[in-house]
Amino acid sequence: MTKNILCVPLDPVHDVGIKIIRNALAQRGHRTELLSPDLHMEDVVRLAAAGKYDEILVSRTLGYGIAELLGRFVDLLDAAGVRKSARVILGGKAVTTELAAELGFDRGFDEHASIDEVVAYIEGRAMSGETSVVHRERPDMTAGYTYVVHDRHVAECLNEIVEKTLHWAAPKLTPGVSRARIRKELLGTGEGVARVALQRDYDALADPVVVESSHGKLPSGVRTLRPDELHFLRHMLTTRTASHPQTIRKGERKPLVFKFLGSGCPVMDIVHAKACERWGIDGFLIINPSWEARYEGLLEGFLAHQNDGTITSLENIRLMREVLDPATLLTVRAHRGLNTPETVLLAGEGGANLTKIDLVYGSLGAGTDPERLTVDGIEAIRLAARYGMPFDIPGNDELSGVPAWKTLAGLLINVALGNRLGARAILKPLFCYGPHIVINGYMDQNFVDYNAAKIRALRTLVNAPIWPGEPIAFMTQTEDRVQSATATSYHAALASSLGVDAITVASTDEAYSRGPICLASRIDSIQAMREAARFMGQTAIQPSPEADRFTEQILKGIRDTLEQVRSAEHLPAAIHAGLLGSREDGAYPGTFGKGTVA
Amino acid sequence: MIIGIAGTAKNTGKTTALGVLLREAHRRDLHVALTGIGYDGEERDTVTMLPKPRLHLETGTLVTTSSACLRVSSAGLEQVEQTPFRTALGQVVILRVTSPGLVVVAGPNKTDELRVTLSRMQALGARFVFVDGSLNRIAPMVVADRLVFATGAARTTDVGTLVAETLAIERLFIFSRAVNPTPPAPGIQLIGEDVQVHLASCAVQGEKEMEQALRVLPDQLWRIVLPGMVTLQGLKTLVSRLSHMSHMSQDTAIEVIFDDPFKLLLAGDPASTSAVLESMLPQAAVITYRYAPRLVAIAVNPSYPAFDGTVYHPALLDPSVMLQRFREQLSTPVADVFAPGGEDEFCRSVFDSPSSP
Repeated sequence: MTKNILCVPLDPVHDVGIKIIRNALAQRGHRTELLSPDLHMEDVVRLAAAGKYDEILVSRTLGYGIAELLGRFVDLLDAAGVRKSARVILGGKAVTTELAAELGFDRGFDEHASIDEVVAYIEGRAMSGETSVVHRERPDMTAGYTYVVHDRHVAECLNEIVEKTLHWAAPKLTPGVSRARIRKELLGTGEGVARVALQRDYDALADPVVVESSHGKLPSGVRTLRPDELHFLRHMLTTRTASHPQTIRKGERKPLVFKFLGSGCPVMDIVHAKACERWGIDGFLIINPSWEARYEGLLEGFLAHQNDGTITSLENIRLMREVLDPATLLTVRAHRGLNTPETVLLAGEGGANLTKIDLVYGSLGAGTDPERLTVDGIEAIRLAARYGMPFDIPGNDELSGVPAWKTLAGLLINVALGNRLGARAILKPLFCYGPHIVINGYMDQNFVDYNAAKIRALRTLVNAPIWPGEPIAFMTQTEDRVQSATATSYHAALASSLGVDAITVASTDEAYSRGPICLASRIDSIQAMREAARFMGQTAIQPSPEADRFTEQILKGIRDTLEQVRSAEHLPAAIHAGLLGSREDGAYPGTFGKGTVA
Repeated sequence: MIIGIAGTAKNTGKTTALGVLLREAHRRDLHVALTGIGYDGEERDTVTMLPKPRLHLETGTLVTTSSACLRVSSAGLEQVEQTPFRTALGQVVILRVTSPGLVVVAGPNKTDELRVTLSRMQALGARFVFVDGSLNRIAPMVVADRLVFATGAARTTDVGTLVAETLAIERLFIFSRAVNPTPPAPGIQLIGEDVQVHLASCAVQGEKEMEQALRVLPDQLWRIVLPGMVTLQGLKTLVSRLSHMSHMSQDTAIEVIFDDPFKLLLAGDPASTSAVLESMLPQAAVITYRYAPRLVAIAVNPSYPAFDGTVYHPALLDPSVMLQRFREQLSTPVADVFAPGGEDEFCRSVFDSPSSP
C-alpha cells in the first residue's frame, strides 16, 4: 500500500540520513515530501496537519535540550490532531527505543538501524516494536562437524598414539585427578561429618597455601570480594542481555569473536565483558593466574587478585556466567598446571560453555610435567565430555619456536583423544609471526600465505572446527594502538576469508599495558575489525600460490611428526623425546608436578 | 476520577509525588490504576545517572504498560486485557498486580488511545486512575479530571523564576469551563447575534489564521471559538484585535473559548502566554475552555542534580524558604512531600478536594 510520508529534518545539519531514507521510500513507490530544515516547529505542525500523512519521519541528532524539544514537537502534533492518523517516527544518533517511548514517538531508530529496517516498519512488515538490535543466540561451534580424519595414514597414526597413551594412563592416578573427584563429591555434600572428611581428603592432596586459604589466610595479593562490591555490580547490571548489541561481522555468521578476561578482578572483567558484548563480542576466555598452575589445589570464593589472571574459583565462574548474556560463550582455561581436571569440573559446574585443554602445549610451553598433564588431561577431557563442553586446543607452543607442523600435529592428537573420549575438540592454530616463521622467512612476503597454509593443512586432514588464536596477529602488534588495531583487523579479515569458526582477539594494549588493559583499547580492535568486515564484505583475501607450497610443507611435516610420535612409547615419551617440539626448537618439557603420577 | 501528574522538567519529583499518591491510595483501600504517557521507572536517570524512584505497586492495582517493560518489572503481573495499541516498547496491555513490586510504566501516549485505555481501566473497576506524565509532554493530560504539577529546583535553581513560571501555569488553569459551548468545529468560529461564521479547518491558529478569521466580523460578535493549538503570535493578534473592538463600543465582553489550558501551555513559555492573556482588557473578553481539569496541587522539589563539569551529584535548595515563597504567591495548594506533614497535605489536596471548583 502506498503511503503518504512527510520527512522532517529538525536538524539543520544532519539531514543526510533522512534524505537517504526518503529516496529509498520514493523508489518503493511511496509519496514523500521532504521539508526544509529551517522551518519553525509550528509551521511543521501546520503542514503536517494539512497534509493527511500516514507517517511523519523526524530526524534529529540528540544533544542538550533536544529531548525536551522533541517532546514538545510530539505534543504539538498531538494537540493539532495529527497523531490520530499519522505515526511519528524518530531517527538519529543516540536515539533509543526507551527515549522514543518517553517522548511519545511511535518508534525510534538509531544510526545503526538499516534503511531496510525503517522501510519495513513503515510498510508494516516488521511490527515487532523491538529495537534494531542484533538477535543473539548462543552458537554451537562444533555443530555440523564430523571429526572424520580424511587422511588414512594420519588416522592410523592418531589411533595408535591415542591407544598407547590411554593404555599407559589407564592405571595411573594423580593428586589432580583425585582432587577433582573429591571436589565433585564435596559439591554434592551438605554440611556435616561426611563433608569434613572429604575436605580433609582434599587438603591432604593440596599445597599448604591452598589449605591455609580455606581457613581464611589467602595468598598474598588475593582478597575476597566485599558483599557491597557484588551488590553494586548486580545493581549496576539491571539486565543480563547485551544492551543494543552490534555485530562485528558483515552478513556472515562466522567467525565468532572472543576476547580474554583476566584482569585479576572478576568485577572489572565483567564490566569489560558487558561493554564488549554490546560492541559485538561473542565470547570470553577466562585466563587464570600463572601461579594458580603451580599449586596443588584451588582456592574457593569470590576472589580478586592484584596481578594478571582471574582466579577460576567456582564462585567466580558462576558469577560471570550469571551476568553475561545467555548467548555469550564462556571458556575457562584449564590445561595449565596441576589443577586441570578440577578446573574443568568447576567450569562445568559453573555453567561455562567451553574449556581449554592442550596436553602438548600445556607440557611444552606452559610448564607442566608431561606425564602429569597427560593423566590429568585425559581425565579433564572425560569431564568436558560429561558436561557437554567442547574444548579448544591452543597451539601456542609455536610461540616457543616450535615449527607449525609439530604444533598442528599436537592439536590433532588432542582431537583424536577427544574423539575417543566423547568430547568435541576445536583446533586453534596460531595466526602469528612466530619465531620459527621469522627465522625461516616464511612471512617475509606477507602475513597471508603461511597462516592460510595452516588452515588449509588442517582442513585437508580433519573435519573439525577451527578457531585461530590466540590472539590472532600475535607478535605482529606493537604498542602503537592504531598499528595494533589494524594488525588485528587484517588478520580478522583473513580469518573471515578462510571461513574459520572463531577467532580470539587482543586489545590494542594487551601486550604493552604493563598492567590491566583498558576498555577503550578493547573497543579499538573491535572497531577496526568491524571496519575491515565492512570493507571486505563478501569478498575474500586471495593467498598467493606460495600458500600451496607452504600447505604441502606443513602437511608433510605433520605426517612425519605423527609417524615419529606413533613410534614412541606413548605421548609423554614423545614429548620428552622432543618429537612435538625440541630443546633446539625452544620447547622444554615442564616440571610442575614431576613425580606425582602414581 | 482521572488524576494526571505532570512535571515542568526532568527530575522535578513527578515520580516521587506519584509514589506518595499510590501509597496513600493503598492505605485508603481505594481501587487504583496507573498508566503513563512516557517511559518512566528506570533505576537511574538516563541523562544524569543519578538514582530515580521507581514505581512500587501493591497487589490488586491495575496498570497499563508496554510488553517490553514486563521483563524488567519485579511485581507479579497478570494480563487482564490486551489493547489494540502499540508504543515504541511494544503492545500495550492492561495488567493486574498479583504480588507487590516495581513496575516500569509505558502506556499509550496519544491522547485518543489514552482516553480509550482509561475508560477500559475504569470499566475494570478502577476508581482513581493516575496518569504519569512524561518529559515535556503535556497535551495528553487533557484526559484528566484533576491535575498535579511537579516542579522544583531541577527546572531552575532561581526560586523567583520558578515561582513566576508556576504562577503563570496556575493562571492558565483559573479560567472556567464554557457554560454552554458551541458544538466543536474544525476551524475558528465567530458567533454573532444571528450569524455564525465557520472558517476553514486549521489545526494551528497563528497570526495569519487569526488575522484572516477576524477580518470580517459578524454583527454583534459575542463568541470566538478557537479549536486546536494557538500560537503565541496568534494570541497576540487576537488580544490586539479584541482591545481594538472594545474601543468600538462593543456592548458586552466577547467570550473566547479555547479547547483546554494545555493548548495554551503549548503556545510558548507559560509566563509569556499568561502575560498576553492578562493584557486583554477584562471588558473586551472573557476566556473559557471547552474542557479544563482542576489543578489540585503543586508538588515542589528542592533537590536537583548539580553538574560539576564532570558528573552530576545530588544538591538541595533550602526547602522551607522555597515552600514559603511558593505559598506566598500561589492559591493552589503547594506541598513538599519530604517536608514534615508534606505527604499528608499533598494527599489531602489531591484526594479530598471537591470535584468541581
